[in-house]
Amino acid sequence: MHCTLCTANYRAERGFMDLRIRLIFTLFSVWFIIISGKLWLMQVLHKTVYTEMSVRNRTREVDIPSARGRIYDREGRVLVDNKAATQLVAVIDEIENRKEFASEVSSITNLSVEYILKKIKENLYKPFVPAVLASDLNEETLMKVAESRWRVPGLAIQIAPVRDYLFGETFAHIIGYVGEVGKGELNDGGYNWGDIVGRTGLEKQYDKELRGEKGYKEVQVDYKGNVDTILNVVEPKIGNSLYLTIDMDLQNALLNALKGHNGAGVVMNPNTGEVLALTGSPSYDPNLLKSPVKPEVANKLFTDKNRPMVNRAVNGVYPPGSIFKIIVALAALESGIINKDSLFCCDGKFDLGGTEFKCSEKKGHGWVDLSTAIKKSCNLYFYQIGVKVGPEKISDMARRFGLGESTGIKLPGEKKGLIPIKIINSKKWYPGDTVSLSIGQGKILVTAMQMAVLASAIANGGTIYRPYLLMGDETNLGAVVVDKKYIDIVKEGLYRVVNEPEGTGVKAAVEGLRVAGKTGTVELVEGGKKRDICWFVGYAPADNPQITAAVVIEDGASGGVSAAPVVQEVFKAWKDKNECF
Amino acid sequence: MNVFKNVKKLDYLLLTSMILLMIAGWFIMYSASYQEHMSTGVDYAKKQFVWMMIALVIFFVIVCIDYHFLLNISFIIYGVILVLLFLVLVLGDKRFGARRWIGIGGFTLQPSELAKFGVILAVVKYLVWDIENRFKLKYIIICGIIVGIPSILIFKQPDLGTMLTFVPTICAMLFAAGMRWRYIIIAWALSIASAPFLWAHLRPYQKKRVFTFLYPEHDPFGSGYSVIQSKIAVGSGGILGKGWLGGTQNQLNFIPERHTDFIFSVVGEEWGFVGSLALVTLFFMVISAGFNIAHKAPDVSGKILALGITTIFGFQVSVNIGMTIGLLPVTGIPLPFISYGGTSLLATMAMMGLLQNIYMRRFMF
Repeated sequence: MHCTLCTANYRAERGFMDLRIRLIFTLFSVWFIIISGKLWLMQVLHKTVYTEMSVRNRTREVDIPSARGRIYDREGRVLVDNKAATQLVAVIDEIENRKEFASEVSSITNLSVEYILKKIKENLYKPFVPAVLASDLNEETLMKVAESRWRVPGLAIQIAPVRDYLFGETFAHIIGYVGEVGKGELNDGGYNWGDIVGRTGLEKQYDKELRGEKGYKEVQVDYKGNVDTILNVVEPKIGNSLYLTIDMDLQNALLNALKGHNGAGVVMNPNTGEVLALTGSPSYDPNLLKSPVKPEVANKLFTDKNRPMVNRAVNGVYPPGSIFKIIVALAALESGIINKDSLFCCDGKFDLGGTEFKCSEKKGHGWVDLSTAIKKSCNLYFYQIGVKVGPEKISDMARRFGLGESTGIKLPGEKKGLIPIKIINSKKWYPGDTVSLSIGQGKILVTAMQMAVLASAIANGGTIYRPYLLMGDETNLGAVVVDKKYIDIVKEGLYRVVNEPEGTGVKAAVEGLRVAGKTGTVELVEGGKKRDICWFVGYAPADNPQITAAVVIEDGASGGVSAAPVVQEVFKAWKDKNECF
Repeated sequence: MNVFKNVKKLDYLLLTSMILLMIAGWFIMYSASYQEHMSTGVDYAKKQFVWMMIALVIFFVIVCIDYHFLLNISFIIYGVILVLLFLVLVLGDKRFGARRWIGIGGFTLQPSELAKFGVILAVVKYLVWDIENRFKLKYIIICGIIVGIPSILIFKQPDLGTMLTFVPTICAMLFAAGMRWRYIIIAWALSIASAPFLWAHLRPYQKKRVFTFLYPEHDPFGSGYSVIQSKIAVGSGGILGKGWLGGTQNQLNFIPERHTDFIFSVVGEEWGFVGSLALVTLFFMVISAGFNIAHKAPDVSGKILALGITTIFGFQVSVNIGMTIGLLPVTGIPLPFISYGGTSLLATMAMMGLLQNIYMRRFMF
């Protein structure tokens, strides 16, 4: 064999080369020791850390939403139930190109590209929670989605329990509606992204009881998050049911009677505080506000000038008008300024330092006693006794009947109204204010709920009961606020209001039922427009009251014309159910 | 020289390690490609088996041909390689943004893998032919040109990984051939100095890989994803592993490119520390056998050839495993014997054949 180098030289070369070869080999050996060391570090020493990471990698907990508790009326009729809805959802995390996604989904469904992009944008802060694009899909859409799902990453179908408000708008102001938890609500109350929570009404008030316990599925997923195997399932628990004191028949009667008006009505059992019916008018259909809410629908509801979303029964405040004469009369009777037979002259006008206050009857009512004054709603009578009693005693009496405070009904956002206690001793209080206060106008505001409690207290002889909506939620037995003998004097007048020819509330009369009550009409000028706040509060039967009602209408003709017939309808419905009285 | 005598003279330690690595490689490949096989129907394991058989034949053919003959025709081989590398740029299949493959029948050929074999032969041929000038700078420059031409073609594909394997290999060969220390130091200085220039010419994804290596947690769902998933796979394998076909990281597709570049993570996950160490040991046995052969080679050309082969093999193993366990940045260098890829196996086996070839002729002087 021929070689480039001569043999002698080659020996020397060999030694030289072998040294260098050995050096390279040493480098490799060192590197292999490093590799082995690193393997030992990862696989033996830090094994648990990596194992945990690998478990976290491949397992997911998927929430199974719980159905909310059902809601029943006092006779066990289901008012709110749940149903399973097929929902089209977008998992934003998996969407590759938002515009493409939107146009693909838009071509499958009837949703607009803008709507889909908007929904994605709204849900960007929680990209891993499926954002509901549409609910209650029809079969055709379902088929289309199933066909095209594979080429539209991020598109999915889910079945979730959704609220079914069986009677639409009828109970909306009591029960409220639900919606997806908002960004700001996560911290208070242990909610997670995508949870459904009560937005208002009892749904909000009793959310913790209603929402039940979510279940979850522990699944093994692949790198794309596709479920590979189900490891464990914990079934969700349905929420607790609510049994309401509400009577569906009375509620229907109330809402129907209020149709076409902006106003509110509350019907109670005066002897317990149970609320039998309660609503503002107009109402809304809570089914429209289920997720996903169509923007135009929500927009229409929230910007409607008649404000159907506002529960005027507890959230609307109005001057009580002549209803307040009950309070003024009781204050005067208790302080001994008048008695049952005290007479005051009404000539139609009341002059206070040059300012003229008028009676409803221009000619005047002549000499009137208390019960006649109540019957005819004579302002002059109450101006005179009001000025005599003074605003302090009137306000005090009002406060004893719970005015200026929340009634304690468990509905979100109840308004307190306003009683002029703090300002009557200040410079802001003018003598004319006392005159106005005597007929329930000026610096005083009440809710229909408070008026129902007042009417109940009069009906039952002076006991305030906290109004309640859930069966068995009676928390106190009430307190007597004023001597029954004074109330009886007032009640005589209230009976005459409805049952005598010249009474202001004759339109509340129900044949075969002894109804008593009081009308109220307040003229307001708001923004150059005249409005009449019309009231009627009443109870029946007059000698053994079982039902009370307070109704307010924002722009009727007068209390006797607009509000009294509403109460009449409710009492009629009650009488039909309770013939024995 | 009859075949029987040849067989008796083989390096059995190397042969055993090689066969064991091939068998282990097939099983690992089977598991790593299992999910893809199930979903796409492409039977990688079957394809690889065919390649294994072809590679074994090539191995025995090369064992039988005297390496001096191969060195004598090395410039023809080199020329063929250049043509292939040129063709792949023109006609190659584009996959994952790179042109690296030429289709031949039902199989695809990756010329850059074959280039390793051809370039080493050509370099050895030159180094030995011009060994008198080994202390001169032109020795290095000519060597650089021989490697440089195919390197540029490979860089164009682009296949940075394969190109990179040439650098330490040629350095080791020059070093063993007797290059002066001062050149080594100058080379180091130059390579450090040229780093910014090279950096400017790297493609964005290549730059990203370097960043990712330095800060893998910076972008856990982007470019750092592979390394993090690979490390999780290896670490969660523990001491005994999750069992063959039982790796969750592997079978649930968390590791990308796991039947090629990231295949060691499958070993780590399914075979654990014991299996990984066994495999590393087998690789080390091949490397130490290679160095032993270089040590015992009958002549300078045998020595440098054995060293070149062992270095390129050892470098691929070192970088691949190092990358999988997060010691080195991600480069597309396959793990010899284990990664899927017929040409890679073919080139590896041809080089093993050369090693045996040199070993067999150790008593010739």
